[in-house]
Amino acid sequence: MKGARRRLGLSVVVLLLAAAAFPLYWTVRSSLVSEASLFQHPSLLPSPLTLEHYRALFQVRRFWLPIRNSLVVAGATTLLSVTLGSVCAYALARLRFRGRALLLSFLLAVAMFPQISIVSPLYLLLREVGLIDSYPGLVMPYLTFAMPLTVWLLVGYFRQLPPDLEEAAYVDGAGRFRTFWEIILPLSLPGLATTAILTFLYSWNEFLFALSFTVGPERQTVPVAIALFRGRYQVPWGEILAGVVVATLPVALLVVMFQRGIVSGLTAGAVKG
Amino acid sequence: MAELRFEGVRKVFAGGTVAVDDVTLEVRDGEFMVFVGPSGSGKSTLLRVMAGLEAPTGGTVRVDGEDVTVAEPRERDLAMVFQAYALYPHKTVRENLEFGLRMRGVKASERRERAEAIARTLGIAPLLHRKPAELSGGQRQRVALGRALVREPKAFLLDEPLSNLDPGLRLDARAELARLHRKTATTFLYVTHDQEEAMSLGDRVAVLREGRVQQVAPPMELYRKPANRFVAEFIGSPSMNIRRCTATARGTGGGVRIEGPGFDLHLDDGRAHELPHEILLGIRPHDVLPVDGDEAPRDADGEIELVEPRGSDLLVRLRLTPEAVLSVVAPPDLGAAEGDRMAVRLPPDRLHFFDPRDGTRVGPDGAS
Repeated sequence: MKGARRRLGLSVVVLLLAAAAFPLYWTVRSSLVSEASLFQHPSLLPSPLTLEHYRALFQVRRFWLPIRNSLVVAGATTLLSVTLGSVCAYALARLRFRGRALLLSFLLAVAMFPQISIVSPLYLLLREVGLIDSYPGLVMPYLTFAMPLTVWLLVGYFRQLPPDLEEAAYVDGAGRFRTFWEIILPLSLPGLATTAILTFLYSWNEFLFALSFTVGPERQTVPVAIALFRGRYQVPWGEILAGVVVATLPVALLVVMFQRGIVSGLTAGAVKG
Repeated sequence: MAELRFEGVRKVFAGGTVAVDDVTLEVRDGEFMVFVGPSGSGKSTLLRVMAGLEAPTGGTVRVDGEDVTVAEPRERDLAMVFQAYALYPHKTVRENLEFGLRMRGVKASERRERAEAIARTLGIAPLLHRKPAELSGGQRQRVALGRALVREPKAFLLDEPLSNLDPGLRLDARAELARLHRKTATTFLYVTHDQEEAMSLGDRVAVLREGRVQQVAPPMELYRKPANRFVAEFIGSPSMNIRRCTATARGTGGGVRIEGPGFDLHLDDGRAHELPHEILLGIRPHDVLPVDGDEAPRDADGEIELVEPRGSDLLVRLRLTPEAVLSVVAPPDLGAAEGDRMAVRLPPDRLHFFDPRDGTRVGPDGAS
């Protein structure tokens, strides 16, 4: 009975995994065949394989430019968002002050704005201060969406840390900032890592702002660059798919790397077991 | 070394709960003071107010005469041991012990020496490189103690530090605490809900209830002369028997007749005249004397409802009337069983009297 249920559960997992992984597999597979064979009889294991699309991607289209741009923008957004957001979230989680609940709901409301509704005002604003087609011109708008998310996630995380630990640190002679730095942050690494990954993914994949606030390839990010591959008379599917594979790699690597940081039970032993 | 003072301290929590209500109390230099009371009595809140973790709504807190009411915890130089220990889980035992010293700018070499010395005293030296998660409950408790001791603070605040230990370890840890207090000769302020722990550790014990101090006295005085009905019932196990009675003066000779459910006794003490007519009579189960034989003088008798063997003695529930039960601690060779009748004497010098209106102690001192 138990074994049967286990097998059932396992097969469901396998099915779900297959469903999720298949498009990815198909992308990788299609990026490795010639343009001509793309639309012939589809087969799971095609031959011959070719790197022609990847060569075109980097030699003709200078694809490393949008990759650099995306890394800079997403990295800066993540760094700023987690640094500022964690301090902000700690205050919201632990300090008692008037209007705290209101502030939190306001933060969430900001993140709920449909992006499209603020594209025009933001564009005018950025043009006014001369930040169109610049890194800050993307990072700052991203922060308006990333920060509320960061703060919300971290407020939840900080709240579930036992307040005893902070109190012990205060009595031991640490001030608020030392306590935050020495006790709270190290214990929050899993939460910080999760938040950082989500922010990075958001910034890496963001399309609308990136399309609206950049002008040329010098500042275009990966999603924009890929979208602009299509010409007037043809769609270079092979190169688009190769671009998608290259764009997915850093993100996948990042998740795998940070996963080690997401160690649950880091607080075990803090209070009685 | 420090004297701790609470002066008219009040603490009202958001929502209006009065946790501490006008407490004035002094913990003397080098004293082991215990705050004891049921949950919600405000004992932990008082401790946290002293530590600086809660700001009092009113009143003043002093350490060595200095007003620290609004001072940050780190400015008070007090150490605290938390009920759940609150060890820093990402730091090793050594780092836990050294943390307070590091925050106070003690040099690395001295930190090392002091941490190791404390670890040796507490028998945790082999654990210095471990993380709290790798320690047993008893070991964690020692590290928590060590973290407080190593700083050599002005005073120690302990919030139920033994309540998470197994009963077997608890007695040892209690003895260890008493030893450390003697050794450090520093002020200890200790909070517990366990009256036995309070009695065994405290130089003086403050009994708290609903945010108010009921009585502050050395343990034996609490036991012998409880200031009111609450203290009488809270201190001592099994709990004191308390029955509503009437006291009637008999002539001018000073004798008083006390009548209650299932008993009737006479007091010859002259001061018994001071008793109000309606009183509460209290007697500890240990003080009730079982008497043998049908002819022996007796103050009450009833049917044995339940006999609980406790090893060294028996706890007997004696039903005097359908409404009234008397707890009696009897010698193990009592020779009576459930359903038998038993007669008892209530020695006059072991009786306590309380005013039924407010529960305060009245009349002749029942204690010797």
